[in-house]
Amino acid sequence: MTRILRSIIAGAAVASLAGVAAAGQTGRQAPPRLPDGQPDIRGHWISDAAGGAHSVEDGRDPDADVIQGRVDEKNPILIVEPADGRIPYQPAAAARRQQLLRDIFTPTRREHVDPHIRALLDGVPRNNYVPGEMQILQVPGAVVILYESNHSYRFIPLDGRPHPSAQVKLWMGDSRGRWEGNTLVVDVTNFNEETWIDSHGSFHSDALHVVERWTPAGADRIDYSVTLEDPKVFTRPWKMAFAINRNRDRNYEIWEDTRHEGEKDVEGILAAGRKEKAAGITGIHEHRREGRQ
Amino acid sequence: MRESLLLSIVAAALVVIAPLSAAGQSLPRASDGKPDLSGIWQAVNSAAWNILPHGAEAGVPGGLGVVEGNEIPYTPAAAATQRANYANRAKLDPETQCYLPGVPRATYTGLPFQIVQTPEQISMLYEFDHTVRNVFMNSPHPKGPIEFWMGDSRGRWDADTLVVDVVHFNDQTWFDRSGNHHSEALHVIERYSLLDRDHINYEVTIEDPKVFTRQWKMSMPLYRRVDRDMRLLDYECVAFNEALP
Repeated sequence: MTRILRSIIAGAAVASLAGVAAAGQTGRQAPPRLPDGQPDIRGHWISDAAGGAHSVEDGRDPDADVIQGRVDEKNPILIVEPADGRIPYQPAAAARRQQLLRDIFTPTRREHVDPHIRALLDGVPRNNYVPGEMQILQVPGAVVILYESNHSYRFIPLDGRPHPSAQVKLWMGDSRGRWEGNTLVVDVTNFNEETWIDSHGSFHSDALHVVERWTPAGADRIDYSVTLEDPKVFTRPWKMAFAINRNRDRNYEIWEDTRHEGEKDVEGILAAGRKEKAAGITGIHEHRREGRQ
Repeated sequence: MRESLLLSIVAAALVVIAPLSAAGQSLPRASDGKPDLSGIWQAVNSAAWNILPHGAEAGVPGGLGVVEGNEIPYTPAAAATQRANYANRAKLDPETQCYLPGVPRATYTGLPFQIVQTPEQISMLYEFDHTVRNVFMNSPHPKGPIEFWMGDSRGRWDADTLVVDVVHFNDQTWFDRSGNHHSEALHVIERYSLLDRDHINYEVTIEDPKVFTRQWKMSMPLYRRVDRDMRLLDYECVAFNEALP
């Protein structure tokens, strides 16, 4: 009796696992599954797109490339939609963005300085393309992302619970996930208005709605794409895409990255900006568009 | 016929077994059999202000204290430092600068924290300053000297208790808002014992030969936040400080 009972239960378990696997077929190599049925994307990962933290429209800073000797390297642009690779700002938003680029040229107040430099949280999706690793943990019913940069984290429930009230504003937004086959789809809302999408003052409002798609492609790559919509700032949804690669050092550990505790740059940046402004120097932060045909 | 009878016996047995096993096994357990500490927890006490017994003041709730024996065994010099810290706490408390709170202070800031438990790594996510601790299980501390704000945490299971050994601190963090302090030689041993589904007994042993004449202990319960749709929010102290005039 006991043996029969065991084999019935085992048989049922195999059948349900097979059903999950079949439902997950998308034509790509199917990733291994965890006991709760989630595709296994655990591990340490690093995005291909860290240069996009400077500008999602123009890629890495060409001045920094000269200093770092990387002028001949590929400089991928993150925006895949619209085709012109520019953020589709509404007219008023485009004007504000131009003003931010002038403020970045001669910053005189803290809000003229990139929040990333000010050791504030990067928000989503920017945390996925600032320099630094990310570690993905998976537990029953949730995916957890630990970012090296500024020790930020996201806990992403998969149980279908709703976003909190829109009155709750969060630096990293509120992430809710679900698996569509092998793709982790994360819906992110409840943003504040404080984070930038890059160092070029690319901004959004608290109406920002982000949808991320994390699709494993083989054991060591995730194809990541993200759609941003914000009816207060953009004329239409736009999309970025890049690869996220596995760090195959199995012994890697994320150690403490103390951004605020060691922050000494902002006062210097502001002092320089104020001095230039007082001397009548003004301008706009811009450079020729690198890496595009 | 016989098969369908068997199936219904099995089905009935499963229905009966499920509640029985829940009742018979008081602790929720993870898939590896260890007590499951996953969830959102919070200390409910006034240790954030003062880990020692204290009466109430304006804006400060009174507290019975969380230190065993109600005494911190400072050396005379270290006791003088604590008194000076207390006198100048408005300026000197690292919390007012939004610095990472250190261990064990992160546990009882008054804000909740979340435990994410896997067999190899237990991560603790704190609402205050989006602080994170990664507790690496069954692995040695890296060779020092290293000075982390939150220390280097290595964990192991001692029967049903999670024991976390923490070293490699800096000397910048405090234990509370009353200037209780330590040096970079601090060694913290935390013990997390699940009492039932919703309570952890949290016990901490503190050693620091540069500051204390002997080791000492604090302990407190941690309570599970059972609020509907509970999630950690954010407390971005850095941004609040920026906004100050």
